[in-house]
Amino acid sequence: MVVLEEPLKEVLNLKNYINGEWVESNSDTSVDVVNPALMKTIAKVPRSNAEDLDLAVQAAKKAFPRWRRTTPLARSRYLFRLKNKLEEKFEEISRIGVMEHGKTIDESRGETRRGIENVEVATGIPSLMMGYNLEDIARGIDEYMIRTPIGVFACIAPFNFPWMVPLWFLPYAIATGNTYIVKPSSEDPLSQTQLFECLDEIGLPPGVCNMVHGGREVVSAILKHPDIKGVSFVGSTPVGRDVIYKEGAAHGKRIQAQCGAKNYFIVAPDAVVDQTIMSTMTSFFGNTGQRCLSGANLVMVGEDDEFYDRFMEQLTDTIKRIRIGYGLDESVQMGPLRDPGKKKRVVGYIEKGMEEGARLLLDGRKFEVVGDYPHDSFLGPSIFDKVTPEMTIAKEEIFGPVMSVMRVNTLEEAIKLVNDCPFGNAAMLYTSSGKLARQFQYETEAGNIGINIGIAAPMAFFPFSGMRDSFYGDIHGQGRDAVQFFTEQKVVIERWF
Amino acid sequence: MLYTASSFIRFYNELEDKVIGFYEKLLEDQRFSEYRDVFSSFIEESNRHKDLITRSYREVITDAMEAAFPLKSLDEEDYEVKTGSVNEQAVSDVLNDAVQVEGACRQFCLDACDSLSGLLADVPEEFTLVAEKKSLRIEKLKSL
Repeated sequence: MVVLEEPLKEVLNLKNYINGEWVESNSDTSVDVVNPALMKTIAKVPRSNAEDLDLAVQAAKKAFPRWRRTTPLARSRYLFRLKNKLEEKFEEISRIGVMEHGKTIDESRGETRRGIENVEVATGIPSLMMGYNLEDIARGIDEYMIRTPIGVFACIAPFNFPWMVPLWFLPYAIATGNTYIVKPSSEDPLSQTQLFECLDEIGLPPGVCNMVHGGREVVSAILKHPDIKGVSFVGSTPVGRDVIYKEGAAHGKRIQAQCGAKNYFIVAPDAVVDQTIMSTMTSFFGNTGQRCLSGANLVMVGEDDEFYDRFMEQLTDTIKRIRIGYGLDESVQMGPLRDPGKKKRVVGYIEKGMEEGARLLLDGRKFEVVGDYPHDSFLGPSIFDKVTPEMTIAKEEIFGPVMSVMRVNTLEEAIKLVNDCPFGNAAMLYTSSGKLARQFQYETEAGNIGINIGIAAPMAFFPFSGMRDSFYGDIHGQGRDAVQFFTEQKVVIERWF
Repeated sequence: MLYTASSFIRFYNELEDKVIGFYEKLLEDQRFSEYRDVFSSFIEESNRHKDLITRSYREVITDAMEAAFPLKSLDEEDYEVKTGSVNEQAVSDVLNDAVQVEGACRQFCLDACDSLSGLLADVPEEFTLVAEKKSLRIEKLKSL
């Protein structure tokens, strides 16, 4: 058992980053950031207020004209420098990710890498941002489209991927010539602080990137501020739909709200069993199930009871051996939930599943932790079978390590289950049949489809899609979509006498 | 026991460090002066292999991959290398130890490749490549 060294040795008092400086919040209240595996406070984060946010907006607004005139090539060079900084701090950032969130070191390194990949893609902005043109749209007249930056944008980040998610947006926003404000999750804001230390070190002009810690007051101020042109949000559907999308749109902003999910993981009778089972491990229990792309409902297709029994036996036997503990222990495969409140919520769903008649094959409430750590936030993996679509555990987003298993006879029935679900974030099919795979990707109404992929997480150069109750807005994050979100299209029609 | 990709990578680096340490001792021993170039090149190559595996892991690990869950766990004890004191051994015994050290490292690379296959696609490839290089080394050592 090797426990990696913690990079944070003392409790940090976090500050906002505004106009190129680390500044105290105007608010005198703060909240503790707690390492969920140790239940120890590792930082204090200010509960900033609307005044703090306004300072950041004014700085970003002031920086915009000059930054907009900085050439795309020069802007991309800042991002190359950022990429190099992030590589230097790769391990430190990853370990901080474990400490602030609870995920395992493998998962945290994966998150760090995904964030860096977006920086890498955004360095290509001189190509990505190009418009198009056509000469002689009429005799002697040419027409062209150019993309122009818009102004100040902001991101409201979630707790489950506190490092990566702002990087779905920030690199593209500044690469396209906008200025930016990040409001990190107040539950785990330390890796974002690391990001801003790197942004500070690469010498960005003051005001181009700003960070304001805080909670609802800052969110509300972002949504209402007249000088913020657009907002990117990742979080739950109720907040994304009813607060961010409605409030932001009411104030004339571009909004992209990537929301909740209830993802189906379909297993066809011809699936490669060993690989499928390994994929369920990460799909359902990776990041302790706190992932909007996680598998939630496992649907076994087919009438073959023998196949079902064998599969479930192997599945249960594999999952019950998942090692739970502190993510900095390299032997650990699943960390704690982010906090005891989230654990309580998941336990509530387990109880609900039992009340509603599902069969609990593996009870995550009984678990062993590797090492001597308080059990407050830990929970083992749970498996229910005999789950039916109307049960609460089949419908609601649990956001924890719980698998609900259903059976259907045909792929058509499985697709209907997916499409009847109000969410449309991800859907996965495990099969050896190209025909079934094509039918699945063609008929399924979900934004991210995995064919023999347990977590259908689009790479940085593709949009992070999502449909229906999983996404509110028009243009997704990452890649070319991000370029579109952060730019206005200006058309010029030109004639010279 | 090694249960995660992270622990596989760390253990591989430790094994390769043992290999490097072993050859460094041989470089100090006058009895092996005629093989100095061979051992120096092995050390250089081992350092490159460490960089290769670590970089490959870090560059392909993403939250889409099943890094925390290799197909099977591996036991460090299966790759333990016991070498005698270089100074107190005959040249042939020392060279046999070198073969044993390289063999353990090679076997780990092959087993890690199997266990991670299909998960972190680039990493198994690199482990295979290192295992092939180890086979060549073993042949070379046997020919000395």
